[in-house]
Amino acid sequence: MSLIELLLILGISIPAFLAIYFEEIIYSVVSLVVMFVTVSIFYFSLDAPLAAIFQLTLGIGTAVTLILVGDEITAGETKPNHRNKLTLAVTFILLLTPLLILELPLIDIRQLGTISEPLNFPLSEVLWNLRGIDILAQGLVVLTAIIGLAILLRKNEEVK
Amino acid sequence: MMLYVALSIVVLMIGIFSLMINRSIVKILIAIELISVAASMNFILFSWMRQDVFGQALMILALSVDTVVTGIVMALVIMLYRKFGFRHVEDLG
Repeated sequence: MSLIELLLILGISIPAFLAIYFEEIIYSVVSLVVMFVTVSIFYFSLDAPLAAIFQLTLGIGTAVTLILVGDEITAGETKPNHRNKLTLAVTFILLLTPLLILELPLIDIRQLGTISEPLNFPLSEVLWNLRGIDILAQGLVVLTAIIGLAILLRKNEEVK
Repeated sequence: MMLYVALSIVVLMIGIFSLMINRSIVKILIAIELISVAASMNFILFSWMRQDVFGQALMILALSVDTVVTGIVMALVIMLYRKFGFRHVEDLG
């Protein structure tokens, strides 16, 4: 395991765990942002720059929304921290066991990659030529979701 | 390679664990985000392994839909809080 691999693994797994550990929403979301940034670096290292940028932008947007919603929901709520450190350590080690088990070369997963011939299309060509209908359908879904969100929040304002 | 697959399993397990122990609606949303990131990591990982970009295309589609779902759920959460004062999933029962 190289140093970069170790840093990526620690940079993804530890913030992911801290995101569920912290009681305060703001700390959880900051940990989530750190994990999103590390995941983006991971995607860059796997020759997927577009996916990395996509993940980073959507992740930051989600984090901002989570902060706003969490701040509104948990306003005035007392947050006692009763987490035991031993429980925290044991839980984290238990959650890391797949890393220890699957690090062993039990299955040579690289053989799965030779099932078919590799295809080297540019991503934009795949998106627009081979997945064009999906992209259009997804645009419709996103537009419908935006309209739904506007209706939900507008009706809520009227009730208020 | 197996190390990264294991890493995605770890993130998935953290998300599922968080779904089981947390009762706050925002924490549950964060757990769902973790599970989504674990799935996306597998898309990119196997795409890189096979040296094609279909996995990346599918990941972009999946991530967009996941973000839309998160946005809708957050709007519903805000509505529930403003209307009924719900903060935790027990309140929904």
